[in-house]
Amino acid sequence: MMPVDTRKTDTSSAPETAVAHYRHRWRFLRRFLSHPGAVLGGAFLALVAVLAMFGPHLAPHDPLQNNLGQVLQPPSGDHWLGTDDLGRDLLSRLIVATRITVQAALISLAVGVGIGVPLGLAAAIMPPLLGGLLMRITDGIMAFPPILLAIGVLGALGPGLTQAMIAVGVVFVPRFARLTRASVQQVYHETYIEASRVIGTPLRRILRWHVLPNITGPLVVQIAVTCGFAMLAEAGLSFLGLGAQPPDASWGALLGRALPYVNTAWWLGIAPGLLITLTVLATNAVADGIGDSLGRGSRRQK
Amino acid sequence: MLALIGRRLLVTLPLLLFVTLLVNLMSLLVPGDPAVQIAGENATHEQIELTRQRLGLDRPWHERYLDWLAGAARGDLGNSVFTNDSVSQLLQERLPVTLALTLSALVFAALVGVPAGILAALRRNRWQDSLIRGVATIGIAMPGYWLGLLLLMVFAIQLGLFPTIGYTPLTENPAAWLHGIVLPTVALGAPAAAEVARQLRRSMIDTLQQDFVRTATAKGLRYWMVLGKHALTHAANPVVTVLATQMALLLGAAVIIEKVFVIPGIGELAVNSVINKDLTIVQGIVVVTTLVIVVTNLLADLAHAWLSPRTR
Repeated sequence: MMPVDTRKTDTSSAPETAVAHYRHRWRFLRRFLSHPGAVLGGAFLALVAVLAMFGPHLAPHDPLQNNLGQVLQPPSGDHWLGTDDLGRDLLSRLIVATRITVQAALISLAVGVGIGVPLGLAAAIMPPLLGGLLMRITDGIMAFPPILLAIGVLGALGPGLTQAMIAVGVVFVPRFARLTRASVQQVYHETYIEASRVIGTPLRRILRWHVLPNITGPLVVQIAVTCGFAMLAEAGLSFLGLGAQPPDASWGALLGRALPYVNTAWWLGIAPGLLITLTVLATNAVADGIGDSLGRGSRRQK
Repeated sequence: MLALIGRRLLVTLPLLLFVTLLVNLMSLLVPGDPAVQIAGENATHEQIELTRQRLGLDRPWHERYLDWLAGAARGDLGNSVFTNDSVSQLLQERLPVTLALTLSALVFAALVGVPAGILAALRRNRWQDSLIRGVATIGIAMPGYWLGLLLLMVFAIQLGLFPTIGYTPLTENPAAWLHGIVLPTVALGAPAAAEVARQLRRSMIDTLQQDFVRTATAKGLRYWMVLGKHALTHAANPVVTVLATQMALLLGAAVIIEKVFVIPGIGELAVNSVINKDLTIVQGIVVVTTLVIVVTNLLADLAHAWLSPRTR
């Protein structure tokens, strides 16, 4: 599969002849750095990571401190982004919510990768009939919109962010399973792997040293793409009040809480939405950058 | 064509059965004893026992599942465990509202996405292309409900061009319905339009480089004939696939958009049922939306077969 590019690819910085094999290791980084969008996105994600790790120390106010004398105040010098319906500082709440948002995305990614990759690996090695059946089942799950499946699971387990994100992760399983199966099948019958099998290398070692290195590239791209999906799904569920439960808040939950006040306190709805959009934008840019910077096979052609 | 439909149905029916099985198995995940919860806090032991019998919870789950399945085949999806409302009835009232919104968003996505995609492909690497690609990139990253919130703030509250809340059913007053549905449609359809534009641009660029387009041009066909008759039919194929997958995503996103614009579709029903743990309603919603998605995919397959005879 060789998708035609959707963006300008700077091939001039990576001419095939100049890529001496001793610089092979740096080739990825060099190519990645030649994408301004991807670098910018990466920088933004680093900022988000810092907020997620040190958020509680960076927040200017206590994010849970009610102040009923200062309810729904517009942005000011003291409260840069204004205050919410309980007088809490929105900026502090946004900063502290970063960790919950990032955690949520990571949970669903872990579920998707943790189940999907072994499943795809198994389906590739199994007899074709069994593997095909397994893929048919995952096809069925893939047809589901993530939000609806999550709502179905939440119906049984009750609202809550962890449950919600596990449910979203389940929707990602088929994507990773399919990708893994396809990538493994591409290399599994190469001569060097057949040879390795003939001389009696244990299956586990073949997978670890010959198969896995060949599928990490596409996998990383898929993880980055899925990360954006996960964030959107989390924000949507929390927006509906089915994800993060008060007093905890994720970006989506803050946006949902702003909804009743669109008439009176418009500023409450701007910053959380902007933050979600920028983060997803950054994730997609990084995913594009990684995809373009990987080895010859997966690099997009002009 | 008939053989194709038959073959697709053969694959589809087991899938639907599998989904109903999955959805019913979920009831086993419910923590705690549902009979105790439904009977209420001060229920006596006998009352709880009675509730259990009323709900059929004293029978093994596979019996309950087969009963439910027999009912579902006749269009009866059971009753709400709390209010005893018929789930089929509830869905009959609300699903058309959501479907109308979803379909109008799909139409919007096609009406905006297709011309944008074609224009971007024809003006490749010029400013029109960059602009369309830039807007599409943002459109895909932006949550539709946030766009809805912004549209609501600007066009409904500040400018007063559209109603803020209040939904008029299509059957009551089509003009008022259309007026009220504009903003939700744009909010819901914008990400889909962005995806359609991106896909069509890609496949159009691919198609324009193919031999048969060059042949058509070389034999003297007019530019617009080449584009419309040859290139577009060929490039439309991936777009059909995108629209079908978007239909599934839009149904999910509609649930959220409905909350922003206070539209009485299945979204509100779904959220309330989850919060009340009314599992029968949640099951009904999931099964019916799956059915909608499956039918959409079937239609997409047929469209494929029609567009490219090769796949027949």
